[in-house]
Amino acid sequence: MESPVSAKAAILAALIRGKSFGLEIIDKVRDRTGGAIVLTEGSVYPALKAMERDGLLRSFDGEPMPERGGRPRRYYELTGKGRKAVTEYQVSVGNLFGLGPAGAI
Amino acid sequence: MRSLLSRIFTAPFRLFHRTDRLDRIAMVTTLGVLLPGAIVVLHDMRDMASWRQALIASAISLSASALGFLIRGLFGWIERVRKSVRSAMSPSGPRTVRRAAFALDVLSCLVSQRIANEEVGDAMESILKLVAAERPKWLVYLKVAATWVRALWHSACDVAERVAAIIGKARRGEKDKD
Repeated sequence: MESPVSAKAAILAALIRGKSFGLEIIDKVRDRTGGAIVLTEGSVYPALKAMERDGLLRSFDGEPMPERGGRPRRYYELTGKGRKAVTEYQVSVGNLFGLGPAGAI
Repeated sequence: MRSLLSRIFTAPFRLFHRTDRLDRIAMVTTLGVLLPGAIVVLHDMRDMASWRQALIASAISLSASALGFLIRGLFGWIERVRKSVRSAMSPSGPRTVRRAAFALDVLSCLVSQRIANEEVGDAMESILKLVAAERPKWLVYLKVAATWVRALWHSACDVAERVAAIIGKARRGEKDKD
């Protein structure tokens, strides 16, 4: 069955509890949905970039890590606009299923 | 004397056992074609004056060698494919990590700093997880290949977006002048 949640919504939901990086976002979404929604690296990175361009996220580099061949992780976190978008999304999904404003994602 | 004779007679067999399996196959194939050919030629020895028969004998021996060589090559190729498949199915180790890291380092030189840090770095981290879980080597190499394709594709998209932005800006400038 096709996933009812878009990659954008899944990424926003994964970032609501704090900063995260690409690989971790994929793992978080898979774990939280019990494998029902699986994001791929091919879809996550362009989506993250587009959302950063839209002002929903901001990104910054972490410390270089030896297990990444001396490359730093690129962390993403929600901006004010991003948080607002998450709240709106929660409300609209909650209303859609007749639950009223949804609880925490 | 007896021992010397026995050594001489057993020399071909000892040589046969000392060679590897593929050489044995080649030897058997060559002899298998060469011996019947030689028997046919010897059978017609009475009329062997003509150069045609000499030519036929040479052709038989040449084709026998060529066939032996061909079959040896074919078996060698099959053996190599079997070995590489077996190797790819075995659990990955430090050597696989070194190879993957090298391939990803090369990729890092071709893409932008951001893609190198983010996508290539994440791929490296994920490869280490695969190795720690003792997943087969082919999975690691597949991951490397997928990272190459994805990172190059994203780089191309990145360049295209920048070019489109520059062209768009230039066109807007022209419209403003008008």
